[in-house]
Amino acid sequence: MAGPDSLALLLADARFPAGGHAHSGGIEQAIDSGAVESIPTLRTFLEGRLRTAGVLVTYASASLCHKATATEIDNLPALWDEANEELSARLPSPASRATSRRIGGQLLRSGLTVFPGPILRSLSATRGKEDPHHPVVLGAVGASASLTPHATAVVAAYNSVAGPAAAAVRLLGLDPLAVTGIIASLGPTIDDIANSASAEGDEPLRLLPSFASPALDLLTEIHSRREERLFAS
Amino acid sequence: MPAEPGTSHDHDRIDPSQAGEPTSEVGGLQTRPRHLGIGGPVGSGKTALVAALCRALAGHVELAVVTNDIYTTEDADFLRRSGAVEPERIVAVETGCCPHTAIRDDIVANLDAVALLAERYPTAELIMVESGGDNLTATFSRGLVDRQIFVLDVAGGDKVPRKGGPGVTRSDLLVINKIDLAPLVGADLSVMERDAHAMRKGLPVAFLSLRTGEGLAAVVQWVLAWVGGREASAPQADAAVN
Repeated sequence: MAGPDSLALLLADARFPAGGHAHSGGIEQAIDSGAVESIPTLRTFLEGRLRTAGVLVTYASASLCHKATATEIDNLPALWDEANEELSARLPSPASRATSRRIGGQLLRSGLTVFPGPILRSLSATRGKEDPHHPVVLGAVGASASLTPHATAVVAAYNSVAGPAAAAVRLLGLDPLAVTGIIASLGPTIDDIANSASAEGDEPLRLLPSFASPALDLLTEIHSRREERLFAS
Repeated sequence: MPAEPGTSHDHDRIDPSQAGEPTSEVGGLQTRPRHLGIGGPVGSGKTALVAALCRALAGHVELAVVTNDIYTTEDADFLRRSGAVEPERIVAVETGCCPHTAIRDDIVANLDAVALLAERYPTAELIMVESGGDNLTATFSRGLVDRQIFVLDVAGGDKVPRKGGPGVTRSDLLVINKIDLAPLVGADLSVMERDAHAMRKGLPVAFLSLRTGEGLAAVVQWVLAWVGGREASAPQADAAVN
């Protein structure tokens, strides 16, 4: 039985304590490069991010929510391993992989307290040397909260643009009302991606999409080498 | 003007009985190190206090440090260069424009950092978490620290204590630093003392100059009385940073 939709709101809330506030999703470096400096250029960046990196995290989160819900507890470790490998293969930037695992570990820490249960305990037991990727954890948290894959997908897609938008408000001093309007205007796209992702939740993980965003990868790499920065990524 | 606060006879002002057992729910383990938060406005001397405590507690308490830098690794680098603590015992957390969020509303990055240090140094007795410089409303979550010190400086103006805020009113120890500058900036320490005590309703206040070392022994004693450590006597006050 599906959990209440309010739990999706909880996960999408910027105040959900999972460390996301310290990450800009590449936009700090995009601003430094001059690519983003206004409401129109911010909109272009966010839509590009949503349709590339956002699609990957949305499909992966929906798929993991579906599979974690449908898999016997004893078989979960194999699912986590496969999912982490597939995510790593789709994140060409080492800095992106590191960030994905770092915020994945932080979300897992929060999830273990907020939505405790065997799914997240299983995921936590596999941490070993490396934390799991963020979409793996988000899918597992969605499953642990009894969210549908669709609700989990909406959270993933929304978060892929809401976090960077908030960072842009802080870095550029943009009008927060106008920036929130951009997120609202991306709503239909967020829903489309979430609908497609949840419809394919039972597809094998090796079929996860991987839309390249080389500029974002490069910005992420440059950012990770900066000595002075406000955001961790 | 009343006796100048911060002089040596004032050390008894800090009542060690105020320091009790950890109240935090973090981990819930008796064996984990105690977590001490050091917060306060930009430039008040938080990093210098951490360095001074590291030096003074060396040999008494096994410790490690988490820094929360705002824009650079300035604080972590300063501590590493100071030689007050081994570089491996310092972990820096990045806070994304919101230092108060990282210590209060969303503490997971800091929890990760203290967990990493506790794992790396299983016999550590004290982990100090230094916040990024912030404003008077910044305060540490009890989910992150067991006790917190709020650091003000006299150069910020002698009206600051009466402006209140949770750091001034509720921190376990309020440190008023840079008392050596008071005559130079026209700050009246007796006003700061009166206002701080009025705002804090019995919680302790320490007057300090890290430049001269004045008052440091009392702060060290306050920490030692809480943490325990291998020796109950306070190190000498001359362990100040320059």
